Amino acid sequence: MEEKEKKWIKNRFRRYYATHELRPDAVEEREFGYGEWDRKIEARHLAFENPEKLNEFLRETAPLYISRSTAYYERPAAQPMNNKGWKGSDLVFDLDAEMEVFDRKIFEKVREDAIRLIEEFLIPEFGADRGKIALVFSGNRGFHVHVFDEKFRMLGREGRREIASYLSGTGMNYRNFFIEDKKSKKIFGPKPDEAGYRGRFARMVVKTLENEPEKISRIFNEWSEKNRFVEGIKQGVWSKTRLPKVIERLEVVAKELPVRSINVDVGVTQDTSKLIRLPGSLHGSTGLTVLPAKNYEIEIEDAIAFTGERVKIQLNRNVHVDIGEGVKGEKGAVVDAPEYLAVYLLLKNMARLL
Amino acid sequence: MDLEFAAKFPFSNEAKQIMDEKKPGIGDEIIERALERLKHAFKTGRVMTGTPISMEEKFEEILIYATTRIILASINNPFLTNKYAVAWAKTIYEKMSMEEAKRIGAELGVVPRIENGEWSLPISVYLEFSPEDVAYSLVNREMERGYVKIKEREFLRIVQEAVKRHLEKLPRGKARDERIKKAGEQLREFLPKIDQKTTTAIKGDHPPCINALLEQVYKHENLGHHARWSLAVYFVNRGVDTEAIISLLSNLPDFSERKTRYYVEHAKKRGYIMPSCETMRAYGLCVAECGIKNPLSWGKYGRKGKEVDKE
Repeated sequence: MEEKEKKWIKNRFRRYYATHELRPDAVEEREFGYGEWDRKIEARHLAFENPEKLNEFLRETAPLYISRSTAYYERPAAQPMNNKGWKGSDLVFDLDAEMEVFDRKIFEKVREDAIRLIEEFLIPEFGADRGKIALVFSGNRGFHVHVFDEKFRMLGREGRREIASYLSGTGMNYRNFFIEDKKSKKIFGPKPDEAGYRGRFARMVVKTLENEPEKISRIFNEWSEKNRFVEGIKQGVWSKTRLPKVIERLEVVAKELPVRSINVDVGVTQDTSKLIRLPGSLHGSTGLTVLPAKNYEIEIEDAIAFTGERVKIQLNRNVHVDIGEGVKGEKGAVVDAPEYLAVYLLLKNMARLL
Repeated sequence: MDLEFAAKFPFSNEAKQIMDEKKPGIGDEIIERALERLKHAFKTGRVMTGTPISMEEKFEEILIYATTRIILASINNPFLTNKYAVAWAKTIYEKMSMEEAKRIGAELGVVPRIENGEWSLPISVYLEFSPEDVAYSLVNREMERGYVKIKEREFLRIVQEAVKRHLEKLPRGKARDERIKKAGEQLREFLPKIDQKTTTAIKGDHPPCINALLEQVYKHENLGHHARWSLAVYFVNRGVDTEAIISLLSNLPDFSERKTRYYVEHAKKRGYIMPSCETMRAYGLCVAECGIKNPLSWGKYGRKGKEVDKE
């Protein structure tokens, strides 16, 4: 990107922070880090004694990226890490999906996955307090789920990793749910009212049999065959069918059980000293707001931070972006795009400013 | 004051309170006996406990235990501390009753919820103290409203783990007593010897995950099963000789030569391949983003080893 383009974008970021005041929780206990063009985190170990100081910093610096620790510290600016006085960390999950440019369908899928994470796992199984969970659009390709509930705060790396593995289904083999009695040829397995993956699996199989039986086998289109099987499952007996190797056929259902878009690899959940994008700030790869969702409802348009004022840009490649009024065009085309899409395309290196 | 309980479980709060009240002096004979008990624990992996009958003897039991800890603190070596913790954990698992386990558990924050004969633990407690074993992995568990179901038998195992963790923390403060220091010095013979041959055999340029594990080994920290296995298989694949790998792993506080030899030889014979980076990540052993697919490819393809920077 050229200097004048960088300057143009920085000016827009500056304007945003001049008119938006951020009110994050526990500012004085968090470590902050920010980044510009080269890296998302160029400097860390920053601390602000109150929200005013943070906002002052944002107005002056207007960083491309700003993150804060998931941890609470006695002395957030102290170095090295073990001098900070760790007081615990929120439990945080990163959910995203591969997409080069924004894709409404994928966005919707990740959002549904995040809601499933909260409603099917965090609240009923982990016992997280509903009022202490936040669903936040990450500003780019997915969502962050922050759990502020104190009961997870002191968990160490190992415990958090175990939770992430649980949610992503790492090490889960549904075949272990079953025991075959060699003599009677009966297969015993989970009942729908059981907790954990076992119950979830049984419920999902029953639901699939009711709604799309052919996903498992066409044999279950037959009403009596399906009913016999379902009645068996309710008793924990999984062999009441003439379908051979029935357990193997259920793999399609097992695959649907975990929260699939959860990102366990990069250590967002397990790292207790992780810096995560600050809610309310701008994301420097898109110019969109890192936006907390109210009641799970969020449209990408809610995250638009800039105006619809026309800006002349030239596309570096074929482009189709479905945000707001959208932009579509071939490589080399000159487009009058709204400011927010111009920022988006420049940051994605897909257009240049004319 | 429950002297009976305190003498049987001298690491308990009950015992500590009794000691705090009495503030006894430590005689030469007690130091001698404490040292004997420590040596016994390091040789056999179990703690020798007396069979105290009189109040006097019961009290002595507690005092001997307290002295073993003071001696350990004076030498302050994680290998010895952890090895002693493991020995205690093993010993009490064999001799504590359910009632006693509940009492010890309560002292360490492991309080089960028992409803209609079903046992469960708050998830944070469960995650902190459940042993590293697939059977305890959350995916194989039933969980409801923040509680993980457990079996009665498993409760004992979890309390055992909590005791081990508790004993891995030493009392603070340096011993000024020369007799204690001297006793501590005598324990050095139980430290694993890192011989020149082993160091040379495992020397080389290793990926960050392996270096992190090696660092833990040299600090004599406890390594989980996956960690231990990955480390062994890594060096097997690098062609390091069995004896050197065993000698390296002898640094672990709960090292058993028989088991280790079996695993290493088994891995060699069966030609076990190194877990991929993806698997290492799933084990929680990956510490950097090196841009390689298997730790064995380190040096051939990537050595960026830079910190992961994700949104």
